[in-house]
Amino acid sequence: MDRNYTLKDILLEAGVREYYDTKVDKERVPSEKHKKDMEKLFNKQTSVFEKIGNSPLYKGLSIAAAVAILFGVAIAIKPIREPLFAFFGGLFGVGAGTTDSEITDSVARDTDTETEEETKTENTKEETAKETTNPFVIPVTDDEWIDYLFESMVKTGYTKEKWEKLRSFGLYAFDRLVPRYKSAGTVDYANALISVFAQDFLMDEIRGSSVEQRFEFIKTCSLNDIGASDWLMKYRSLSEAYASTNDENTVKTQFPTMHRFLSLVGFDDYAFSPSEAGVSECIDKYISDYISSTAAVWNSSTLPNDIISNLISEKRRDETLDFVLSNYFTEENDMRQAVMSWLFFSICRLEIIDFTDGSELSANVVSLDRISTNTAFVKGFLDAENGVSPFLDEYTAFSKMKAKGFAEEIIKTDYPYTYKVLTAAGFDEYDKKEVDIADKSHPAIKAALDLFMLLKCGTPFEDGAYRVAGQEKMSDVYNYFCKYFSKELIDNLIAESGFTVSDGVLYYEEIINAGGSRVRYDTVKLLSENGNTATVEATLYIPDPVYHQFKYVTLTFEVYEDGDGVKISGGNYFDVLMSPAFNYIYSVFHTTASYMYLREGQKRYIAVKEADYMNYEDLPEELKEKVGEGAEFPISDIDRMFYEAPIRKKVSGYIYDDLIYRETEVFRDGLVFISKAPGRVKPAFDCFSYPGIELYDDGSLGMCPFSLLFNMKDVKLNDRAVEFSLDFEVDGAVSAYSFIIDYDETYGMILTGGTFVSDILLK
Amino acid sequence: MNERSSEMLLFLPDTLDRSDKQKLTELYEKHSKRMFTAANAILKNEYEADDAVHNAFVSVAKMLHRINNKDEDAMCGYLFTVVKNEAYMMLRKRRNDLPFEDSEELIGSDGKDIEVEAHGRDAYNYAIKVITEMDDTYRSPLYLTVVMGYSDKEAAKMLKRSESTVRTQISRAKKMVADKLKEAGYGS
Repeated sequence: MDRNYTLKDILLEAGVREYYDTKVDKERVPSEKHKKDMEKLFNKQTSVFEKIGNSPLYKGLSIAAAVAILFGVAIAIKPIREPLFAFFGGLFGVGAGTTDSEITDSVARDTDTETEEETKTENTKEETAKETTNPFVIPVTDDEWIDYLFESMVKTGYTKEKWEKLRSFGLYAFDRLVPRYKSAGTVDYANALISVFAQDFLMDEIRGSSVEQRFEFIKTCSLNDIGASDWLMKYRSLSEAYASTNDENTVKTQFPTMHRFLSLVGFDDYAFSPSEAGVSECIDKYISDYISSTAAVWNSSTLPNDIISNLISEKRRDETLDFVLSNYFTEENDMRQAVMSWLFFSICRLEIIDFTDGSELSANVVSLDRISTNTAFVKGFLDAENGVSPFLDEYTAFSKMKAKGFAEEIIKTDYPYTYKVLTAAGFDEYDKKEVDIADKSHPAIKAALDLFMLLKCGTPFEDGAYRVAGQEKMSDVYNYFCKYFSKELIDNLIAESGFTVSDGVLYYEEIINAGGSRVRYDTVKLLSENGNTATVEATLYIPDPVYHQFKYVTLTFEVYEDGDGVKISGGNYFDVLMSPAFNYIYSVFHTTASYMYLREGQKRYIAVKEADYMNYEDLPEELKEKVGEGAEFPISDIDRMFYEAPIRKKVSGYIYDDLIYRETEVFRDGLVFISKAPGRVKPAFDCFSYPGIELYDDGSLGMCPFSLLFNMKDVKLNDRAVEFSLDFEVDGAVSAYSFIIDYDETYGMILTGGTFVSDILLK
Repeated sequence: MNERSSEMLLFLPDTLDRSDKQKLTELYEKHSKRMFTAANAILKNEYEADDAVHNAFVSVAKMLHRINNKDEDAMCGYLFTVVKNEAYMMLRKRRNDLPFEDSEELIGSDGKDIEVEAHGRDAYNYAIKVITEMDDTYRSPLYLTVVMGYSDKEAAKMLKRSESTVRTQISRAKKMVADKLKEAGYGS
């Protein structure tokens, strides 16, 4: 029965759809600045500026500043100036000559005095030496001169000559005077002199900096609105606040004088920079800052942070792995060993997934992979008392077994990190068979998959290529891929994929949402060989954006060997995966998978729901442990206890439309057509990540577990039709269905035939 | 940090307790990537889009006490509304555009509160399509008031528009949906 939907329902649903329709580039890393901004926001406490603003001291200083301004205004008026200076001169011991030049004027003063001719300096030396209060102490060294000039001005007042002479010592004088600054807001003449002297250098730097805008707030703290003596104190608080959120190297590069100043005042609380620190230091920092402070609220999504990300980044991966392999076994600190193990896992898991080929070892691999998302494990991992996580030991044992089936060259090329592990473990039991052209074609096949990811999924290829905002430099594309394909082949693929090249840049258009996963290959087998050319066959794993289960397909590559290694000239890999029709195949594949999940889920759910367990032995294995032998039998409502209750989720109209309503509606016309772009299908099925589904009348879902694997085979393409078959493997039982997709002038590509339509949809 | 966000940080309440911060962090972890995509689609500049996401979370932090009990679905649209509004404001600033009030002709609202309802699934789907295609100028105030339950005044403050502008936009947005439904034969 039709129901009524309110405007709120409509707005909500539109919002949800738009949200999930928005593609996510999972590999994009936010800028460092953004990360820092967000960190600041999340950890927001009363800011330094607020504290200053609210403090009695600041309020006091504000009054002092106001007085200073009034004073500044007053001294600009000649009739007032002279009596004022007479008064203050007496107060601070300022002597004759001061009335000729005010300290406040020095901000606007020409700072070119450093270029004074040496002869003039020498003359000044002699003149100023005569003024010394102790005629028996003549300054000789630079230090003595700086001290003399400064103390002389403190005692007898500012003179232009002395000031300029002091300036002539540049940063050397800066270094000597800044530590004398009494930073506790002392308003005296000595403090004012140092403050103004230092200000010259610091303001010059800020004015001349290319990051001036980011440091704009410092400029506002000039002598116009704060007393001369207080400027340096304000600068200190601002620069310390700035430095505490930037690493030392950044501050040193952007503001060398500020860095110098901060060193002089003993500041050493710069933000930690993983990229500037060694692996060992990073591990210690990670333990002290991150684990100890946030362990209580950790979960799998908060596990990675800047330090870990930096250590496992492509740039540092080798360094980190070398460190781990050299130190893990001898490390005595459990926590450090645990972090090393985690680092190791984070790096090697990039390769672990490649080993998942359905063999007897895959179960071990999957368990390793899933550890990373297992909250209970993560909690245990953080608790040193529970012992060190077994990643490294387990992985070494696993990779030793696995590597026996491969030639050393292949492991070295395809699994460089695993190779390091095996080498460190002294492994030397590689398959000694002769390496054939199929073995040697691995790097080229890997490049072919990278090209697929680039053109179909918008994912940047590896090997340090350059990418900016959804664009790829063509020179990078050629540099990387021309080692494995002809330039003509690349150009043709780009043209056929509907991508455009302009001004040397490849521009993306519509892309498949690959869910952050990459296409991978497993077995590479030699089909035929003729001289230096051959046909090889590889099984590819196509990432599914929804279930993260692997769907695989077997395709061929035509390869040839020349002096530079194996290159690819063709094969149905390019006909199938690179063709525009692949988007439709992918879409059908995807929707079919969703349909089968739903269908199988319903079957399982109903089977469980209807089951009446008379005794313990009747129970499915997965329920035995939960129910226990001591339970009272018969049990008929067991599903509600273990399946329905854990996960109930609202089914949006959108999901319902995509999976049931729309297909059955269209089906009445004898067709099932897949009109959506593959990426757009994703949001509909997010809640089916746990397969096994029952739709309830109230719009909620019940779940029961099973595994489903898809294998796409026999893909044939022609101008107007695509044919392929899919094996559905449900909990190990395989059934095969064929699909025919025809081109229709009105609807585009439409699923019109095959046994899936006749045996499943028409039944 | 850009000028505006540094200003805003200063005015953030200090009342964010541990659970608020946790909530904020969770929202960020879960939604920021999509919010970035939405902002980047408007700004075409990754760095500015990062800033827009940051600014959006500053706004969200301010309203955290109001949105803590909202469900996940509502949050999706809310976060998009906020981040897109930030992005549009940045875009206008970049182009030196005039604010909403000055650049829009706000006439044609009779001030009546139109009730919008979709009868049946087809009408519902069609109404969703209409909302999806609606300009964010109108959709944002509508979402904030109808879904999030803000007053016109609060929505106006969040969107940096005048209250009268927001009222007019809400009224016109409702009329648009009602008219479109009627045109498509779903009207009552």
